[in-house]
Parts: sequence; C-alpha cells; structure tokens
Amino acid sequence: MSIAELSVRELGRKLRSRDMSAVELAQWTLDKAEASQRSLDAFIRILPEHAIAAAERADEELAAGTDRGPLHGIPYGAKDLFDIEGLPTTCHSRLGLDAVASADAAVVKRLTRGGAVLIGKLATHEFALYGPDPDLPFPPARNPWNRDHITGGSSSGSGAAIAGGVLRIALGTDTGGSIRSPASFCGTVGLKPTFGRVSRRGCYPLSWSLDHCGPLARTVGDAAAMLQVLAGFDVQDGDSSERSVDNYSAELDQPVTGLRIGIARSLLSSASDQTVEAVERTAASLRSEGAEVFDVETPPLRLFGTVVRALLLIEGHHVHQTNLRNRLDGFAPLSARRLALGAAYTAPDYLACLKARRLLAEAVSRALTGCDALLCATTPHTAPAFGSSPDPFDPAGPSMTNPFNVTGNPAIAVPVGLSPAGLPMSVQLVGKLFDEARLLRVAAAVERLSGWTTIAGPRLAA
Amino acid sequence: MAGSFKAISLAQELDGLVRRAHLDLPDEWRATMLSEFGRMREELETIHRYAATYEGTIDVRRDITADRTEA
Repeated sequence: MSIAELSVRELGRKLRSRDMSAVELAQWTLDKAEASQRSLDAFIRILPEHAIAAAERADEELAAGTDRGPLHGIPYGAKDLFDIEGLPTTCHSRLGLDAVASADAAVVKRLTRGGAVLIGKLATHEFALYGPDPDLPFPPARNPWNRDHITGGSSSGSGAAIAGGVLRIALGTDTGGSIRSPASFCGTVGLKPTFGRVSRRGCYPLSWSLDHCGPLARTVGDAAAMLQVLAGFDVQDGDSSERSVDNYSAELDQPVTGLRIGIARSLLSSASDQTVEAVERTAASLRSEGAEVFDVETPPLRLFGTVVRALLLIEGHHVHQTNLRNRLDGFAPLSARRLALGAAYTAPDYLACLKARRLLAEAVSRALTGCDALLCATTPHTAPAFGSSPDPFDPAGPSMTNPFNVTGNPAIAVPVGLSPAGLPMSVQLVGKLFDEARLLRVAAAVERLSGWTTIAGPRLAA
Repeated sequence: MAGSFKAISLAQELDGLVRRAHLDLPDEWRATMLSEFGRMREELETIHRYAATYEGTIDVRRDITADRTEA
C-alpha cells in the first residue's frame, strides 16, 4: 500500500512504530506537493524548511516518549486565509501579497501543539468569495478528476491537494459552503463544524456571523482525527463555545442500526436527477443497515440562499470597506463588484435577514427533533467545467450548503461514488448542534456503505 | 406645507447608496450591478415577508446556537 493510501491513523501507527519517520513522511509529501503543482496548482506556497523543522521536532518528541495525539507527525495544508507568523496571508489576492502575519491563527497553534506538520498554504478564491477567477496573482486550483472542471470553492486548493493524493487533511473555511462544495466536487470529506466549535481567530474574515473553520480530509476517520485537535474553546474568539469536546472517533465503527435519519427533501429542489438518485441510494443503504429513514419538512432552499447572500455581502462590505474606497483596483473585478453591492443593503434589510435567520434555524431544529441526522445533497450537480460555473447570485440555483451556515448546525460532505462522466458525487449529512460525534458516525457508515474508499483515485493524482 | 418623499427609480436608488458608501466604481459595472441590485431587492422582499410572519421581537444579537431545542 502506498503512503498516499494510508489513513491518518495508519500513518500515526507507522510513525510510532518507527516504520517511517516524520521527516520521511514530510519529505515524501513535499515532493508530491511540488510535483502536483504542474497539474493542480493547489498550493500558493510550499514550505519545505518549515515542514522539515516541524517533522524533526515530531520525530525527536516521539523518540523521547512524547506523543501529541492523532496528528503527531501528520502533514497538513492550510487555506491561505489562515495566519502563519512571518508569512503573508494573501487570501489569493493582490491586496494580500504583503500582509505578513504577526502570529499563527488559533487553529494553526492547535495543530502545532498537536504535532502536525504544515506543508504549505493552499489556493482559495479571492478573500474566499466567488470564483474561480483567472484575474488573480495565483492560478486557480484544478480538479484532479478532470482538470477542465472546477474544484468548487473557496477551499479549492484544500480539495485539490487531498483528492490529488498529496495530503490526507487540510484546513478550510466555510461561509456558505466553502468546505463542503470543494469536498463535493473533488471527492473528499468536508466537515463544517457547529458554529463556535472551532476558533476563527487569525483567519481572515468574510462574514463574521456565517464564517466557520474546519477540516477537509480524505476519509471520515481522517476528518474526525483533525476535528479532535481543532475543536475547543478560545477565549479570544467571541463566538467560541465553552461546551466540552467529545471523542469524535469513538463511534465511527458503530453501525447505524436504530438511528433515525430525516431526508430534507425541500433542500433538494435544485438537484439534478443524478444527485437525487445518489441521495436515494444513500437512504436505501442506511435502511439496509437498520436505520429508520423518512422525509422531514424544512423551509424552502431559496430563503436560506437569500439570507446568506445578504449577510455575506453586508458584512463582507464592512470588512473590505477601506480597500473598496481606496484600493478598488487591487481586487479582481468579480470580487470588487460583489463586495460593492453590499453597500446597497439597508439596516432594515440586515435586521430582517437576522430575524429570518433565527426563524429558519428554529425550523431546522424542529426538523432535527426526533432525528439523529438529516440527509440531503451537498451540491446540485457534479463539478462544472471551467467557464460554465453557475452564478451564485442566481436565485434559481441556490446553494445546498447555505442552510447550515444560516443555522450553525454541523454538516459534512461525504463522497458516495462517481457519475457516468467520472466525477465525484456527494451527499450532505447534518447533525444536531455540537453533536459532531453522532454526525461522524452516520458519515462513516455512508462512506463504508457507498464503497467510496475502494474506488481508485483520480488519474491526475500527483 | 412639507413636501413628501417620492419613490425613486431603482437606478437612482443604487446610485445614491453607492455614493453614500463613498465608492467610485467603473461605469462599465453599472449595468450588471443594476441587474443584480434589482434581483436582490426582489429576493429581499421575500425575506421581509418571511420575517414578518413572526410578530414578536427577536434578539438578533443572540448566538445562533443558543436556546434551540433539538431533542
């Protein structure tokens, strides 16, 4: 079995048994990262010296009997929205080329404390907005399953590097679906945790009321291992939760027998037939393992989309107000035009959206009452080709990931197979607030029942 | 006698809001932005109607995860 096929847990076993050193693993990953740039452009910056130094520390600590947990010696990448002390946080924008961070982001500190090894900073869309956009200082990441198709975004490099066999885990951010959309299009797992579960300090904001940080990973087990290190209270993040952190791997091997899964059918309104069939197949496989699967009522998809667009553009406009006034040319036109539109909302609009948000969240909580998780799709279709990406402003094609940025519930994208065109298909599972452990248990069952992990990776894997 | 406020066109409204925000935008963006603004106003009407379905006050500053029951 090649290194690329080993899970985080299996890699950890090899490191602890000295079958492999963290330095060897880091060097293998750096070589893959470098080679992958020719086809995937997943990385904005590869950090060989940083990675080897961290891997040497990881080896020395293991030799001395210090074990920092599930990510000790494990390579990871960070979307270039996360601060790394001494390096620019470019946000994939000309405006960020000289924005050198003075401290590590909270999640990067957690990963360092957990012994993880940072390999590099990953491509995104400009300021995590819309894309892909060719008018930026770095090229857009490419989908390893087909380079002519987009990765989804905005955690585009994270999705490409994992699907391309370079990394097992990466950091992403998710304001309207930016972890789950690239996970869906690239065939990786993407977990947006509960709002407040993972600190956002040191991560460049897009919309503070919707922003979440979390893992993209090759498998559900890898995502659980990464969340274990990321989750926890941060006194310096005003939205961080003091709730205790569960053991996210404890339930992964348990069957779903007796669990109750609600299909959120109103959220499938814009799904292709192929996507609806994937959801139905998933429901049937869960039933076959003894879960009770039934339809539940949720509000119309378009309401969630309108609330997300409004909050994102109003708050995004505020975040970028100074540059919009003084350095408009620094933005790519697509980002600038959209952010400028944030000025066109009024205070009554903002308040109506915040009130609607609460009503929508309570409606989803009612749907989740009596369920262990909800099942719907992650994206309406497989990855579109470059140049044919749907307009996120089109109300006829609202995002299926938006609803859970509105409600704050944890949501995970799980790949379940390939389309006839050879592109990954994904379903989305949604958990109760702060119940990531149960959500991951259902996700692990979906992953296993779909046979996804037995499907060979993309031909373009590095 | 005091004058009355009058409805203004969508274009005038957008121009006013952009001016108020102290933005100096390229002329070639105007048509696209106007189209997006028109669509946005229509969508927002739906949200205003939806928000009005609940007549009570809501503390919008409260954490979105607070006080929700998912038994």
